[in-house]
Amino acid sequence: MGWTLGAPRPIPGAGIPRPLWPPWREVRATPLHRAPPGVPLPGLVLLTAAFAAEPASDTVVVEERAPRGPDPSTTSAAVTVLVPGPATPASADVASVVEGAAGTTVHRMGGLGDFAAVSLRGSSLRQVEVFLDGVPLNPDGAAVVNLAELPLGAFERIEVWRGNAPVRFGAAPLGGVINLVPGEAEGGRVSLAYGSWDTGRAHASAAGRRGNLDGQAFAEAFSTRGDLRYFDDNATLYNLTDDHFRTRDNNDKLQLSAVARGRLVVGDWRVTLADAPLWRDEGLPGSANLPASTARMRTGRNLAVARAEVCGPSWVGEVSAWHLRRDEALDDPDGELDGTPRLEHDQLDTVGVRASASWAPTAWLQPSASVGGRWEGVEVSDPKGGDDAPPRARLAGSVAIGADVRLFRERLTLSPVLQLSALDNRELGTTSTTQDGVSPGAEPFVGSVDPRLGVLVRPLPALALKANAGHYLRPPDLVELFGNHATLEGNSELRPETGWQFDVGARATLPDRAPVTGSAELGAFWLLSEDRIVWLQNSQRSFTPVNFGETWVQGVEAAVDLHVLGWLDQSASLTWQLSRNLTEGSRSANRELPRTPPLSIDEAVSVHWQERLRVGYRFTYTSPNYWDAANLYQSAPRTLHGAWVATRPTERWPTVSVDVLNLADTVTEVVPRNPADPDDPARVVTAVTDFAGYPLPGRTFMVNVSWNL
Amino acid sequence: MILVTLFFACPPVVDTDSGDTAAHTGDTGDTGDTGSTAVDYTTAVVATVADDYSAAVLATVDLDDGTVHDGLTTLPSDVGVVAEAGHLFVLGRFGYDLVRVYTPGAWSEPVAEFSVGDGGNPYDVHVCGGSAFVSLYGQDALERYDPASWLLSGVVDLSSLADSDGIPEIAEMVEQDDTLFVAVQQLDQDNGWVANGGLVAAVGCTAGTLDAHWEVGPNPSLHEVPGEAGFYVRTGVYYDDEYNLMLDGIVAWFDPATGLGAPLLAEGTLGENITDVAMVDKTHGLLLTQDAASAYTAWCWDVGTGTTTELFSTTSYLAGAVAGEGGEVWISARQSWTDPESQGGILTVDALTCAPGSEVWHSDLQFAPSSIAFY
Repeated sequence: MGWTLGAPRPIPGAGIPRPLWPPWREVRATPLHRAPPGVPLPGLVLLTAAFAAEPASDTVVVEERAPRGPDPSTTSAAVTVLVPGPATPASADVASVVEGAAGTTVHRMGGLGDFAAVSLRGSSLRQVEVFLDGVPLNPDGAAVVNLAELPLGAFERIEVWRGNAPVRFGAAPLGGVINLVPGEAEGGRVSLAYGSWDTGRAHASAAGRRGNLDGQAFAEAFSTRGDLRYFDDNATLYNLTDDHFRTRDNNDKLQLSAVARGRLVVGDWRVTLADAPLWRDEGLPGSANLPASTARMRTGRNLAVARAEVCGPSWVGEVSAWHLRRDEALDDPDGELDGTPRLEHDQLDTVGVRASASWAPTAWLQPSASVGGRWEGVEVSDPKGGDDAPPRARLAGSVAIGADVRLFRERLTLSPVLQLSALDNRELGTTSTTQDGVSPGAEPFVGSVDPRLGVLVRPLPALALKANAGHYLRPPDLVELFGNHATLEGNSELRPETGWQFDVGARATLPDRAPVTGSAELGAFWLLSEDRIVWLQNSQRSFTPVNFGETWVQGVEAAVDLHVLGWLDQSASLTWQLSRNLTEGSRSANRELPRTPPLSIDEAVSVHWQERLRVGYRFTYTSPNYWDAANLYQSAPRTLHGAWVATRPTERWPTVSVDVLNLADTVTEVVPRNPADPDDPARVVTAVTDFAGYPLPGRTFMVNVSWNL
Repeated sequence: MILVTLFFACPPVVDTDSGDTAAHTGDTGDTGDTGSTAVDYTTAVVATVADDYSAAVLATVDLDDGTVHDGLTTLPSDVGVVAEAGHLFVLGRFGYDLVRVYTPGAWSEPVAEFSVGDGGNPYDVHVCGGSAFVSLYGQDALERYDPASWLLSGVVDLSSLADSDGIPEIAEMVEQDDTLFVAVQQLDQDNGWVANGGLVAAVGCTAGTLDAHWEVGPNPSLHEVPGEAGFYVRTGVYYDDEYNLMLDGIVAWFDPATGLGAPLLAEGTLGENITDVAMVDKTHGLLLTQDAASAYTAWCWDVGTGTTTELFSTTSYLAGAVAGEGGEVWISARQSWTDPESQGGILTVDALTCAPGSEVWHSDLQFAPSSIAFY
């Protein structure tokens, strides 16, 4: 077996089911089995072991570029593969692309460059693990990944795994996995953008290969003044005379980020070194009613990855090691954020290693396994009271074994997974208040056995029926336990959250060569959590995590992706969910879960003429949702329209585009004054926000010019 | 269709003992007319706040029959209530920085609402000299409002009393003969809120000027006694730099004519920090104390004999105490950070009969009480 870098070359040997191949590879293969006639399923996998009834052959029957990323029709998991391309507006960021997938809800603290994170199927933001090229940025949900820190241009595709994620991630998040996959394309690209609030973005990318070496590099600079105009009711709900518009001060950002990767192929081995640094300096504007003019945050992050992959006759293996460091320095000299002057420095380190392998011993069985561990530590200096907190650390490990069992000519696939997770909390330290062991340090060791099962039924090639069930565990992360920023206060009493997730769904695809191509998905999901960790905003708009008891989310997700006659691209998604706090004895029992909007809609459509001119429109809607456990305070609905036009007269010309976000300049809505009292007819004007006190921007223009080199 | 049907299947529900309907609290601890107070209240107004301070609602308790009306209106989630001059003031503290003025009983909307400015952090309100004075913990002034229009009519500059951080930390106010006596805590916000002094300032209600001030000790709080010329002052910080208990506090009588008197009670005597004082008359009151393990104890205090009698201890956080009528004291009990299993609710005790173990719990509110006032 061998890896290819240059021109694809035949690989002799046994059958190679596609899942054994890294999905980013371009390969030629010599499968053992021919595709049965009359089953026009695309892709290499369908020509391989699954259709075992066909006689083996040593003839090369296919030379085909493997499709990019996972094929949602051949996996039981609910996965959406998002590929930024011509139909993606130039102003898009990772969050806005992810928002296009069914089951997602993006929460933002402002405009472009401001904090943004995603919830999957009513999960919390931390119940979504984000991977950069297969390496976790927040293992076990350690911290919320700010999607604004991830440059969209660096990624070829974004995989959104809702619920049951593959074994290779070694992850079992309650919500799901988002995997950002860097680009493979050779050549270069330069892009410049400028727009409202003095927002500018410049990025450059280059990729190439020589002999057994290849490399990709991407760098981006982003800056904004962020001085958007927002509506301020002065916190006086009943007094309308003091309502006014203000300018968001101290909301500037400067962010430099890069993603670089080099690979070397030696025989059956491929070695990858990658690095993803980030530097970010930003003003912290505070909440709308408690604005800060001098508070600043400086963030440094670096992810360094070393990976070795090897492939054998019927197996592939991989070992990855990584170091993730994140430094955050908060300077609030005047105590504007919460009344306490601060000069804090948090340093979080994660060192991890993971090995995974997949094997195809028979035509119908493909076992896989993953084993990994990590050490993570946090040091916080100058916390409240002026003393340095002691360093805290813990060890975590997990083993996952699973298999894809493909039966009845691959019309039925069973994918059981068993994951064992363990935490060593002995170095977590003690709470500052009781000096008792830190929860879950009250238990020095925490273990969990988490089974999952996926079922895929394909009665027709174009139809996939799916069902998944799984149990999940997430320990509170070190920020949740010990966070001490002015706007993020940890809770050292937190317990790990556990849960079950179930889903059923159907996916239908249209033939590739039809006038109308695309796919449609419809699914239902249930998420039952115990000790769910929920971040609530307190009176000062700071965030504090608390454990709920039993919680429940159920919903429907749907997506339609259509390409009509080669000139119209349309994608739509909808998420409709109900949530409920089932904590017995709680004063908030039977209320909706905070920040779980019942309805989210995303619609994007664009038409183009030979890619020389493309005009697009996007609509997103997020229904009102509660900010607190008792459901007393509700956000306004977020209804946003956007439009854009891009042109490139010839291949030699740059692409020029103009985007308008929030076309209707919707920064306020009229909402019930007292959402807890349906008998109160009074209405008030309120700002459109995802988080209380953090207004979203109005109409935003961006002009973008990009060249392919 | 199956999926949609599955979705519409109702989510499960659990039994809950919470509810927004009126409920009876049972005996409110009426001890009969002792003649010790001149007040005649009909209603207790309770600002209740979620344990995580993410939500708050207003509740009332009918003092005649104990009926609780919960969830009357939403409140800022860091809140105090003050009944004063026929009004019920809601103080939305840091982050809200507003004052709502209600006519008691008409809770659907306030008669007025005004902001005291970002970071103002209103602490107390008192109507005297024809003005409503609002003490701002986050600023260096008292704001003065016209009760006819609830518009700002003036500012009493107390910047001369500020400590090194520039903020004097203006807290409780007590009125005596057209003079507002104001607690000035002088905490250094730039250095972990350590005490930098501590004053009682006198502000003329009519003139709106700072007339005098007295050094009284660190971190003072003022505790009014109905009908008395003078008030009690509690001083003392809670912890030192190492988070060890500091037993430096005292309680003393403040006479407007002569200033602070000799200590009547010292924390060292109790071995615990005195966190609040509620006097039902000049010689009988209730003390709340906190020990090194953050457990709270309620004590009866007989000033006349100088004795203290322990009533009960709890791991709940006792946020404050306020004197009601007939010698009764109402205590706000909240879940403690150090004991997540601790109970929240209203505790009523009789500070006159002072029978240990006679406290009555009322825990049928949606949230735990944060502040209580009577009208």
